[in-house]
Amino acid sequence: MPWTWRLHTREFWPERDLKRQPVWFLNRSHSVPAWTPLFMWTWCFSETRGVWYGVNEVSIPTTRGHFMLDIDGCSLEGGIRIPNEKEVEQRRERFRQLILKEFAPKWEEIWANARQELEGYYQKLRTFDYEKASVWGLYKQFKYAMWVVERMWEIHFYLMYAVFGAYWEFLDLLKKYADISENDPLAHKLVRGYDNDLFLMDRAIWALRNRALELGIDNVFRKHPPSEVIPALKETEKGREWVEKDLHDFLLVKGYGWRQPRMMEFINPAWWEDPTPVILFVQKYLLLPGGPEAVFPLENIRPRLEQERKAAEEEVIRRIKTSGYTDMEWFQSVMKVAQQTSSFSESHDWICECQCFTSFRYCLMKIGERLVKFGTISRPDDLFFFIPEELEAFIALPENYEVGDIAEERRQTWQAQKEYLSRPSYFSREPLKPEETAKYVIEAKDPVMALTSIGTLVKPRPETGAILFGNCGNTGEAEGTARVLVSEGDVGKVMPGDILVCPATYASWSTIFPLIKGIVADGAGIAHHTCVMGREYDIPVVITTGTATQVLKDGDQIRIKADEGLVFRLD
Amino acid sequence: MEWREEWRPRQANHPLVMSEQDLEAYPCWYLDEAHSIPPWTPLFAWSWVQGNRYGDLWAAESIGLPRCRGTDWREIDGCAYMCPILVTDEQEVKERELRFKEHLKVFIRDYDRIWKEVVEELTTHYSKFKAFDVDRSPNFKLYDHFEQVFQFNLRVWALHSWMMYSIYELYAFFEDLCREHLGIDDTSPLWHRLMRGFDNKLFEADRWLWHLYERAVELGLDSILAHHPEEQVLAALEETEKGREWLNEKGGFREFLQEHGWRLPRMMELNCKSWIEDPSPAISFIKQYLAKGGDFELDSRRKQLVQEREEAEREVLSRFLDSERGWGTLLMRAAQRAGSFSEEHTYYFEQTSHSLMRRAALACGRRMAAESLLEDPEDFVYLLPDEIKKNIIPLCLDYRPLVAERKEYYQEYSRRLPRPQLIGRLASDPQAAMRYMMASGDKVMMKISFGGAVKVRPELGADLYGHPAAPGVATGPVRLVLSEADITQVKPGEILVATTTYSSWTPVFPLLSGIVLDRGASLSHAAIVGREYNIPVVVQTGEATRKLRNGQRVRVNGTKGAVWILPEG
Repeated sequence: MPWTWRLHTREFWPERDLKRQPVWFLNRSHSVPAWTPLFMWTWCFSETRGVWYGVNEVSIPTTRGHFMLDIDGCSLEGGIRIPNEKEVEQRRERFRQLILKEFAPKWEEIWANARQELEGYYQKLRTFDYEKASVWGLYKQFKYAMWVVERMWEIHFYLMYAVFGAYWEFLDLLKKYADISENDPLAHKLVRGYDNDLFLMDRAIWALRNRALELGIDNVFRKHPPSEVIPALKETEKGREWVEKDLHDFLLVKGYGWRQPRMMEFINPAWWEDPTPVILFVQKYLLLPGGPEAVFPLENIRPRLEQERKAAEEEVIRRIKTSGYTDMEWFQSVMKVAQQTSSFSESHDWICECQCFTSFRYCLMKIGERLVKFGTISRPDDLFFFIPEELEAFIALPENYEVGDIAEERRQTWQAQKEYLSRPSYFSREPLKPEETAKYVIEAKDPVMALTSIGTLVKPRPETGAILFGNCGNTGEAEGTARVLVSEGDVGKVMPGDILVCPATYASWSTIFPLIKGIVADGAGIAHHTCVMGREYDIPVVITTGTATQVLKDGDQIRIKADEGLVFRLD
Repeated sequence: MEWREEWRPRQANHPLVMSEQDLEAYPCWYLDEAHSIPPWTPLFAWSWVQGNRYGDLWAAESIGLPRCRGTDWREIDGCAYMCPILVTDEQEVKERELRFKEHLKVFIRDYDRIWKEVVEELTTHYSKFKAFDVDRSPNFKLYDHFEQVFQFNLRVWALHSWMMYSIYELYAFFEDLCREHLGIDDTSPLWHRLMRGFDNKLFEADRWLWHLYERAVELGLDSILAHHPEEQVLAALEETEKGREWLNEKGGFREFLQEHGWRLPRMMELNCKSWIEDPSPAISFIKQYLAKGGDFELDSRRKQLVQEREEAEREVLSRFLDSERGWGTLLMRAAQRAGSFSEEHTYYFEQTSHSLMRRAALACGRRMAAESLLEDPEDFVYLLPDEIKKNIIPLCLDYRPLVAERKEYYQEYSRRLPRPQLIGRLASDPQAAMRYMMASGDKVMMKISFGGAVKVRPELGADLYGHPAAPGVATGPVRLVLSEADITQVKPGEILVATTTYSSWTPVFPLLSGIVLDRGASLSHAAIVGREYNIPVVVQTGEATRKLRNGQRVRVNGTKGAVWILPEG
């Protein structure tokens, strides 16, 4: 097969692409370490299409969507502001009407319908009879799975642009009429104290921990590395009960097993395929104090956050009114939708990406198993190293292809790309200092790109004595041991009291938040999971430092001052 | 097997480009000379191999074609190669035969209803696509439109193959029956009489064009038509009141274009304007009719053809056993449909679908050109669908260097002719290659593209031998038509000589006195239309376009399947 896979590896071509777009930013918070080719394809096509769909259906005023290019398995992005101010105003009016008439009054209904629709598609991917299906049936199912991913991204960005668009609008109103900046503790207090689907799962893992204590089998967890816990548990009756009843119920009855170690990927096994991550989290939770009756740590924080939020709302409304601002209907509507950022940010991960990608993975792995029998590929997950056009060719006539060696070759390229972590944060036409790139992030006012994926890089302030400079993702200060996590496999290293250092947190890491004291991230914007989760656990978060995972080593003693975005070394 | 240099594609742009591995997967690959010569642009080549492969596989599986799972397709530098995929397990063949018989039973009985439903599905989608505003819609909607039109083309090919496999099977089945009872096959004049005297959707266009010519004469516009070059005719007509009437009246030229303008001069390509975009080809046909004059021959001959057919039907049916006559009649009706289906399907399938694909892709090309991402909107033909989609949302990649490279490559490979007819293990043994093809029982390939081996009959003393495809004898000067551009050169009374003919050429048939083709069989386009116009047609001569020269006088005998070059003067 001579297909050269040309367009989808090194798509970025500086001489050409910098002519049109002055700066391209690396999407660190999602695409580092590098993706497999199939995931990258869905990002470049389905995800990008979803972005443009969302931006335009929600009528984000200042931009029509952002650009994405593949650079060695990672995504480079850039936004452009609509130059025509008249068009911006027309879009702004439509956006306003949508917030007032649709999203603010009907948010709960819209979100419930979206969940129901998507979960219906996932069921079809999971319950299809892959063993009995003809090759032709598999081909059709593959096309269906591709369509599900596309539809998921459509819904995803429709809702996300509504919520984050409102959030940006809200921050602007706060700045303009209440003199509250986005780094102000008050701004953070307004958008926290909410529950979400991932917390439900974390609570369920906590219940598994408590159940282990109740059954008196916690020592098995403490004694063995995560991968050996289940075999060891199966040796005792109580242990078997935990595995066969409690864990099974968690993974497959509640369905929480349709989650994966790295959300934005297809290649890692889902929790139900390999429950080691769940075991690991139970082990981590066992490190926290409290017996079988202990409540989930979040429950102790939540009431205070809710109270603080209500107080903050009153304070903000008071200040806004004092400033002479009169359009309270608009302010209240925007605030209501903006406050969904917290629960939407985490819940949508579960409803959109987690379940979609694990279900998609399931479909492809089942097709892959059949293709292995034909000798088309060597192992089922070889499929993730091809793009859809290639897969369509193979799946329709598997007996005519033998592409295991091509998959292997691409797998090795991908492995090498994953190792390449010291990637530059941006490519620019003219040499630019990090802080000078900020305007290119903010200019287009693309809320998803600027508030989650890229964030704004800041000016180094060496006079402060800090070693890293970033933005405030949640207010507060902390001291502790740096724990550098780059990929999903590193989670096991985290110990209670650590400060997490990472490119950005994955949704699947929500579970470790009860353990950590603070976060320092290379990337992310203030609406990214990293910040949302930090706010809900009320730990200090510093984001967009650019190089934290390069500068800090495991075990370094550090202090973070999140309000100013500073990280100090303690020596 | 040795991999010959001439087989090797110089560039691989997509996964269905021929590889060494593909050669090992099948005994032989057959050049689709009827469609892919001259070689295609990259985008069309992509769409052809994707669409036909999908369509053939889908159709063969869904109807249970007994000995063939469909056709696999590959591209080599703008040309398509195909190979039937045989079912080798006899048990499976038996199971499929049962399934196929059940399917055909329904087809014989309900052909008209089935065809109506297919046409409805197609036209419903096309109407939706035509209503889409390609110029003013936002980019993400154009992206979806492009994707839908290109995806629907897969469905178009699926229905295409589904209809073809079914109806051609019945055609061949009826031929078997006639061979058994009458000792005739599809090269016999009796057979040809039996299969003609039917109308179809494309003749409607030809008749309409003829009417437009007559109407122009009636309105006294003939001198405007005769004295302006095609591309200036419309502007000149706009200047006179009668001209505007001709253009805009009910049944006028504009209405004709709306109904029949969704066709491309070379049906199987996206690189030339459809009649809607540029109606010059339609004008040129009207000009050619003007030069010829007289009546619309199809209608004046039709009555006689219908009479002859009814006689032929009586003769054929009288030779069947009494017990067979009932379903034999049904089968004959279905077989007769094969001809008109074969013709009019292109209106509903290829012509409209390809015109809409061109329209969608050209709209993308225009947006890219407006942003200086392409030199010329028409350059879209050098891009593949993923590349086009990638640059519609977001519109950001400067494709000019890529296009320059591909264009140069296209120009190089389109001159690289002739291409090998057969490649692979059996390439050096055409007889064996033909046997493999026959083993598939794929009637579509056999009745359209490959007429089977031709017997040379030295006793006739002819210069070319082929299969008789439409009876009669004619003498006239040769008109070589090697590409769609040559069509406008045709003069009344000429003998058309080509590799194959496209349905977009039908309007030229009233001018011709005979046809000689390199390729083809009894259901080739030229054979069907030739029979309806009652002009002799000889197909599968192998070398007519190489042996004959423009203007040379020849005698064509469509009853015997032979062509003689006449002495000069």
